[in-house]
Amino acid sequence: MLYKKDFFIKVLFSVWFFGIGVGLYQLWSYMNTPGELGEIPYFWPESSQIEFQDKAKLVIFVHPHCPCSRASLNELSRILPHNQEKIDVHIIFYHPSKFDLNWVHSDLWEIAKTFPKTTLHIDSKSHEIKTFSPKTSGQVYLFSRDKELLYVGGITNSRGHEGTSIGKDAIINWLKEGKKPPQKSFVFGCSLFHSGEKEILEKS
Amino acid sequence: MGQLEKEKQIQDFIEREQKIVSQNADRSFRYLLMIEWVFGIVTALFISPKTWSGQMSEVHLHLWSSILLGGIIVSFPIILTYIRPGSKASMYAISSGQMLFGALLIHLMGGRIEAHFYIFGTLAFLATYRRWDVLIPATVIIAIDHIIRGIYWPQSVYGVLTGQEWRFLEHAAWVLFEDAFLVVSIIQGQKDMRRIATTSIELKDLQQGLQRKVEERTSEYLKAKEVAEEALEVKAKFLANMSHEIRTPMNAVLSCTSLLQDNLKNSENIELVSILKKSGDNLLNIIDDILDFSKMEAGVLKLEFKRIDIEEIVKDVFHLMSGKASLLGININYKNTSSSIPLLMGDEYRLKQVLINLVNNALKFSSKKVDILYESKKINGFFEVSISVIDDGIGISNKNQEVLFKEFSQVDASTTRKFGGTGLGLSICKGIVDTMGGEIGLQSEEGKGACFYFKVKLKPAPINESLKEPETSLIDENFAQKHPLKILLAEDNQVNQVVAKKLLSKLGYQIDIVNNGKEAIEKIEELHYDVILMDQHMPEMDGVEATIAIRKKKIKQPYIIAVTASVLEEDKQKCFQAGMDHFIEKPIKLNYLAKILNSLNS
Repeated sequence: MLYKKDFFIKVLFSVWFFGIGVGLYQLWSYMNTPGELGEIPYFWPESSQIEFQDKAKLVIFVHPHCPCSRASLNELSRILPHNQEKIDVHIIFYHPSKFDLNWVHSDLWEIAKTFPKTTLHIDSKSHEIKTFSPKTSGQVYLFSRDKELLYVGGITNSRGHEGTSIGKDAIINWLKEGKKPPQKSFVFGCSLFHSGEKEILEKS
Repeated sequence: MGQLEKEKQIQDFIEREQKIVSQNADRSFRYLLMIEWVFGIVTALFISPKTWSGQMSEVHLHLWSSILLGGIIVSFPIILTYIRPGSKASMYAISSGQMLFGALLIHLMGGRIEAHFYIFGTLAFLATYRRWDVLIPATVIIAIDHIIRGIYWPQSVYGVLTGQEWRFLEHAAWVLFEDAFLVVSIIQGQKDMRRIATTSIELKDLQQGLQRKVEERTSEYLKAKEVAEEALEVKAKFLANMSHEIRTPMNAVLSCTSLLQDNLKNSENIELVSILKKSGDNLLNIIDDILDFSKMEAGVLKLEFKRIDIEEIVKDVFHLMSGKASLLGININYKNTSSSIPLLMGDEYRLKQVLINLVNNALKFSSKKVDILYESKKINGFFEVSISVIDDGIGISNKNQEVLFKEFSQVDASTTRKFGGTGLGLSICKGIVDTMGGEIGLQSEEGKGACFYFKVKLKPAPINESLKEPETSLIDENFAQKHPLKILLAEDNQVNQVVAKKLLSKLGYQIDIVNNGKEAIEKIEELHYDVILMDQHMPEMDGVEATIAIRKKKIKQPYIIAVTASVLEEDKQKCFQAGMDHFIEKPIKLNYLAKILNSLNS
């Protein structure tokens, strides 16, 4: 009886161990699988309705309900203190026509509202999305005052995770020391489009 | 206890305690894991319930992970706490489960720094197992987590594309820092446990030692008690035998003296026999005193409680002593100084003995009068009876009062010469009153007489018929004609045989005589007898054995009357249990015997 019990425990342990391994692998894979960057504008797109003044610009696209973008916005809040008037910051919220404005005013909107010297946009007609072509929520564009793309990518190290990342460190180093950042990096967040929606948007 | 044995016991103690600690910790973690699983689900619901693709949403992988992966992580440790509580397996499973759940929770909470406090909290909780090895699986899992993610997803750990060993150490250092503190604390805890175990074992050893000593002493005490009780029993038997051996010939002496008195015609001879009888009575009294004193010394003086009438007792003593008082020219009186006293439960014989003694002393020392005063007070359901004997004699000084109740003492030698006595009387009175739980004392001044008193507490007697039937004499030489009975006497003492024969001839009976119980049995097999007067102490077969044998026979059963010098209740009970029908004391009171014989026919 004792032998059978020991055997049962060993089998259970094996199943447990395997299950955890598979589960964690799936989770970690998901967490660390970046989203698509989309087409990259290497210069500031003139068709953008955002006015480009004689100052570097940081633009971030956010899906109002993407949980991963909460980390992106929190990381942005850590970048801003290093700003010192060097860049204009714009946060553009995705707004499909299917939903009213209340849909945009999520907790992420409330977080973004607290950022000082930051402009919030609701891209109701998807004009800016069509202009910049981001595909993933949390995607950041950094343009120099000469309208040259300095960086495109995310500012988190994995989905929904705050902490040190290539993008955040690069931007901060550029702000503090003027060090040129790597031009692109990973972005982690929800897709701004479901399948087929991008094509419909482009045709519109 | 040897050192090796002691060490083994200490280890056993520690293991037992550790098992209990582990089982308790298992139980706590079982519920903690369940709570954490629910917390994980609530966290996922709150932080990341859905994932989006444009306008479309679906359940976020975090929520599925919290339910499924979280459930898997906590399940195995929880199962082990049920099937293997307190074991190393459950402990390690819990340690691993806690850390794995911590890793999951950090993911669910977005890697926030606050979530990392869970890791430190978990390590501290694990220390409740009081084993440092419980920290190993937890620490290893943290290390593996960082290594694997550092290799495969370095940006998730370090934010850079390649892993760097020193960054791993930075993360691990905090965990090892806490581990170090916890290990020190756990080891200290284990030392404390060892100290407690050692003290406990030493205490137990001491306790067992004391227990053994107590058992030894108790055994010695019981043996000594047994020896003392045996000695007491021997003494009591000796005294009982002595009482019988002395009373039997004295009975013969006094009975013959009474018979002589009835048959003498010469006045000089009558006077001589009268002196003989008085001397015999005195001798019997002295012998009784000595025997009573010996019984008190041996602690075997027993009281017999029956329904008594205090007023009758006082009256009896008054009547008994008034003759003597009259001869001495002393006026004796008695008086109840309270209300009427109801029937009580007490030893009439002993109460009379005390009162007779006190009145005798008073008559010795009094010149004109002796008063007997008695009263009772009801106290808490009992009646406190006080009897005082007051004389107008020479009185007793304070100094002499101190020694008066002590054995063998009299006031002084001149008193002994003048008044006689053994000096036992008052000490016997004190012994009797003390046995009754009462109090005896004296109030006196030299030249102003003395008041001897005693108080006893007695229970009221149950309400029943009246105590005595009026005494009438049935002694009549035609008695046998009215009550024709064939009587057999079983008695070994020849003098007593003669006495008994003479006594019964006064009632008109011619009795047959045998010398012991065996002869009595043989006799009744030849002839039927209506009555057997059965002595108790006989050679070959005593009265009890003979009665038991007679009662087994299929014959017309005779009426058996026990005749004995013993006055003890237990002796009476022995006779009745053997099958005897009645009991009379020696010396035989003829009127009492006549009453018994009279009752047989009626």
